[in-house]
Amino acid sequence: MRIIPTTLVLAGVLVGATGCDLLTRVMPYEREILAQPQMQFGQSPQRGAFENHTFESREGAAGGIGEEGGGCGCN
Amino acid sequence: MNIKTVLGSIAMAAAVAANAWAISPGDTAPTFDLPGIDQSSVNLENLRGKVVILDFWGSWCGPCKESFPVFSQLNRELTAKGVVMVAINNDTNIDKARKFLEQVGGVSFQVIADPKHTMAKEYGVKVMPTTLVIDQAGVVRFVHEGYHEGEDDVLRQEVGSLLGQ
Repeated sequence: MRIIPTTLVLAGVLVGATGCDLLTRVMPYEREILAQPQMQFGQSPQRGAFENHTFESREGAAGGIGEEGGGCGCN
Repeated sequence: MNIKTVLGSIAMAAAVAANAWAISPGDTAPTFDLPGIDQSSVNLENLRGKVVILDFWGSWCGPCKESFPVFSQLNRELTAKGVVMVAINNDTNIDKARKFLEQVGGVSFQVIADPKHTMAKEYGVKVMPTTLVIDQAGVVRFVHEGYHEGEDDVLRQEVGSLLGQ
């Protein structure tokens, strides 16, 4: 009986400590599908990039929005 | 459950989260025998005694597209010195790789297919492209993550050092 709670706690610790990273992690060599244009949130990557640029200029801050490439896995 | 079990679990989780493991200089290069995209298969074991440049790439990878013409030129130079360059493709659909190669054109090195990412996992590839230089004894000597301008010059120097030049 004691084995089940221990296992559950361990599983909880593992998932919690990794922020669910154990459950899903797409490695760079697995991003073939994610990198396709239709997998991006915006309908137009070019327009999205332009809007991000405008936003960054206005806010005086950059980053945190993502890349228009959509999961290339590049450096 | 004692404290050691909890701490051990956290350490293991942290290691997995950080993806700490990857091939690094000094490690023996895992061997492979993979089919070429349009050529004969490549067995790393058979290349012992030669310096090998190994490149992991995918058709969706922008920097890979930049690197191929440069690496092709580098390969033409280094082939005469007995160096072998091999590129491991990671596309699940091999036709995408073929289309990429057609678009780039003039690729002079051997391209092999690994649609199941077996070797990318073995080598612990964390960035695309990743380029490794393997010495004559089959030991990884240099690892390059990503592609940057001037990478070919660095590779020339590294290969030169392994060839004793």
